[in-house]
Amino acid sequence: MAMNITKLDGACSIRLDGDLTIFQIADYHSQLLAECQDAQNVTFDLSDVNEVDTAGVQLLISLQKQLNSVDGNLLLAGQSEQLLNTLNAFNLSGYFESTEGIS
Amino acid sequence: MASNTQVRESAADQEPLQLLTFLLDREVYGTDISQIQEVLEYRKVTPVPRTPDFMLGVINLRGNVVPVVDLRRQFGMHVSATNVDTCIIIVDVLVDGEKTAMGILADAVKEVISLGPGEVSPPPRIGSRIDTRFISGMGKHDEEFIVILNLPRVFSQNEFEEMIDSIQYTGAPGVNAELQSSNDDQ
Amino acid sequence: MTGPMDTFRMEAEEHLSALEDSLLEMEQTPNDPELIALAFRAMHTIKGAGGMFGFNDLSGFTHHLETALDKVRSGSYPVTPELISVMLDAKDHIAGMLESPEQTRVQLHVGQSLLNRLHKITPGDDASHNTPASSEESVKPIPKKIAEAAFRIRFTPSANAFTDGFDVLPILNELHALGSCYVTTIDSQVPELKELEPESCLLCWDIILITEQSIDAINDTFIFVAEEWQISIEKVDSNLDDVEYFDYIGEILVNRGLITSTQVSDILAAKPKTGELLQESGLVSRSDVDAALAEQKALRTVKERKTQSAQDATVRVPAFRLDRLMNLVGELVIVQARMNQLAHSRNDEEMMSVSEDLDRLTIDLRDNTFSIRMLPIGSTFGRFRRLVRDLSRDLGKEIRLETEGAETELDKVVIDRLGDPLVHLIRNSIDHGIETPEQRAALGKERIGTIHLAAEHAESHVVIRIQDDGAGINTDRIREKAKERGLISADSQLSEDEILHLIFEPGFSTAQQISDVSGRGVGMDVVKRSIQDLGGQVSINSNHGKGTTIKITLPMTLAIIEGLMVAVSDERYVLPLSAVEECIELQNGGKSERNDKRLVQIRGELVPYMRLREWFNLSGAIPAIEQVVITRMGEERFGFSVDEVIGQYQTVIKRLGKFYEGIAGIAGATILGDGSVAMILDTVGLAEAAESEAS
Repeated sequence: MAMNITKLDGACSIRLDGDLTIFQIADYHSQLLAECQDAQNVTFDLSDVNEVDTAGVQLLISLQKQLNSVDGNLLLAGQSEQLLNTLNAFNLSGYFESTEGIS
Repeated sequence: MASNTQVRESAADQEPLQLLTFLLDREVYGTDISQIQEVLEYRKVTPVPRTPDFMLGVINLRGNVVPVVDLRRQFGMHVSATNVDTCIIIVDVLVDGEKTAMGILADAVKEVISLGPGEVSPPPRIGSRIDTRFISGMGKHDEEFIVILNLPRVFSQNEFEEMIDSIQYTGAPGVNAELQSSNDDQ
Repeated sequence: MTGPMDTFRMEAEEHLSALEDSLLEMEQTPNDPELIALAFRAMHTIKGAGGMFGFNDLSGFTHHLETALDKVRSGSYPVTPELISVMLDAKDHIAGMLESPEQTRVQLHVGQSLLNRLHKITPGDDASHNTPASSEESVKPIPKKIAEAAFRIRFTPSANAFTDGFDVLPILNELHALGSCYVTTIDSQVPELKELEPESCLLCWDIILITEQSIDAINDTFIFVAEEWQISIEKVDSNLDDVEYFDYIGEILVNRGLITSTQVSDILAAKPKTGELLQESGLVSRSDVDAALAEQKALRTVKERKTQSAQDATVRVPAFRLDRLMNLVGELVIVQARMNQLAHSRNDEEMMSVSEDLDRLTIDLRDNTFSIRMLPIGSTFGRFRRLVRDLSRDLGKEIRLETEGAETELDKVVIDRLGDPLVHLIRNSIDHGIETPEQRAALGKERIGTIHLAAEHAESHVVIRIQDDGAGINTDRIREKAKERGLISADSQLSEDEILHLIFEPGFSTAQQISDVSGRGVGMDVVKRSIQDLGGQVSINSNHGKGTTIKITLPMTLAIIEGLMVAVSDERYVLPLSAVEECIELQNGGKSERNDKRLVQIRGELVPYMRLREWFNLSGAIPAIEQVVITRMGEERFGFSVDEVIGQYQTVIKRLGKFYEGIAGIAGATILGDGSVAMILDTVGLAEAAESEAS
């Protein structure tokens, strides 16, 4: 259960295992702020994420907005089934750019 | 269904019994008209191979395949060749709880008669040509005795199986051939 | 006749099988909210309808299951194998309860023990696992169904919703369960990352829900958050036919109070494409427009669905009415054939052309009528999934059932009568075919065995294959057994294939094979017989160590048959064309060996045949040149000598009825163009009868 962030030439690659819920959200938020503040392109690997709740989705939306404001890009590389279900319930499955053809 | 064939004995039930009468080997038989669908002129009966001879075969009744039975053979009577009077009476009976149309070959159909309650007596113990189990009562009309058939009993599976068992495939060939030739007379 | 009670039962059974399907699928994908919602809905409907029809015990029992499923749905309990097991057992119990509103003492006990099991898994269930009848809720009046209506639901959770332990997802799931839900998540209040307070809820939602439920049911969804959250629920319109009114996106936005109509008209005056313009003008945000668009779309969908429902609506028809229709169509086909004959014999051009038109119509009508009786075979697959699951558990095996071609259509009668043989074959695969996981691992196979059930159309037939990747069949053992039982002689030279097909012989599957599972006195011979009764064929192919495939070929319907008409004496007979291989001429009785066993030579091979005239005791002399129709069943060939082969003939099969049931060699009857009746022969039955008489 952790967020791994690797930085490379202003691009940020993040991988998340475990849950993305209200219980971790403050933690992850500060990690993202610390590491990806200046990043333009973020690739977020969520293929192994377990539970995702509304707070989790909100964080992703906020990250997306952040990157939009600097003409950057958020790419979801891999979406776990739980994440897909959550996004579907919110009707946000097309909201994020994703490597998988699902959206 | 079965109650239709029971001769009504209670005096309260005053409705006259209506019977269709017909001839089997010169004797008059009758059956409750409520069971009768229609009366057809004789037509070719398609034999179902390798079945007892009294099971004549089947006919096409407006697109339905209806079995026809020769009661004369079933009751062991004399079988005369078919002629212009020969007809097939279509009755509705319950076979194994299923309402089934069946044809009965008769030498001739006579008339529809009404019998009051006093004119029907219980089946005789002895002296009848056919098994009394198949008789639901005896009627008298114009000085003539009418044997009222208990058709559900006649066509009940048990009776039939017994009959089929006792006959088996013994003499089927000759009989069918005979039927065939009698058809040719038509 | 079907009364409301029958309809209730039929519908309840459908819901039960939907429940079963979703439970079984849940085993594969335990966290699919769709499946949970589906199971919940099925249970909910059964409960409601049960109460309405006086099945109070049933409705009380299902109430607990519904409550448990509801908790699963909201995420309070996980989907576990135990839960699915209890639910499946409960499903079976409910099926039993449908028999009568009154429950027997045994049933009550069974119900109680199921509820006890359920309570162990989902303990939070407010002690309501007491006797259901005593529970007050179980007799809750069933809300009256109302017509479908659209509701607009807008809600903004309180900022501290997340930290208070409320999540929006379960609410959305509940709304999804109520009907069709069009969700718009409005993110306009969510700031960029650096300004985000991640634990505050800043999102809000705008939802169009199309449902048959009342506004109360929607209100219930928000029951725990009603105080803190901003929630507005309103009916969009009571009469969905007025949808036109909403077809203007601007108006929708005005209705939502996001802009005023003057603002819209100002913009409208400028240019069309209202949504984009409003957005550009900054009066509304993109997601507001999206929400309005969603509403527009949703309302259109409702409208479309309303018109479509007239087309898609299903009608329940008692089977006997269909049969009557089939009979009428059958008769029409026959009368048409007669008319055609007449037109030709009179050489009347005009009449012939009318007859041709009528012919086309009749065939169309016939095909359409037959198609009414066709059902996708997939309707039986659920039953097999359950079978595989239950049995493999009992036997400690791991088996996956793969299905293919569920949409393949077959006559309902065929489907109904196919169930038992298929169950038997699948049982066989589970019991004898697939090895235990340990054995499989030792053999280097995947631990999980696979049974592949596939159906497909092949010309006028349907082919069903049951394939397993299990141990296959040891032909040496079959050979031994067959010798033991005297089915073959000690020195017989049979090919592998012939050996394999011995398992279809009566008296083959015996004690040595009997286990709990298969071998309950029903052998493969019964399977073969039932398939043949349906006019089909079975064959088997097995690779020792690799698996077994059983192939069943069936006619699509029992109602029509492609036949070959032949004449013997004055009679006409129809042989199923699917069995016919060829017709040959035979001069002067051919090789008349012994009287009871006739053989005809075809390209050097001797094939037994029967003379129908003799077998059926028909009158008349045998013609100098007879025709022999050679039929094939698997590897066996058998001929029937007739006077004349008349030709191919597609015909409606008539059953001979109770009176002539079970006569060997006769499959039914058909009515010919001239109104007379011809027998349809069961070639296999005849060949078997002839052989048993000869031996």
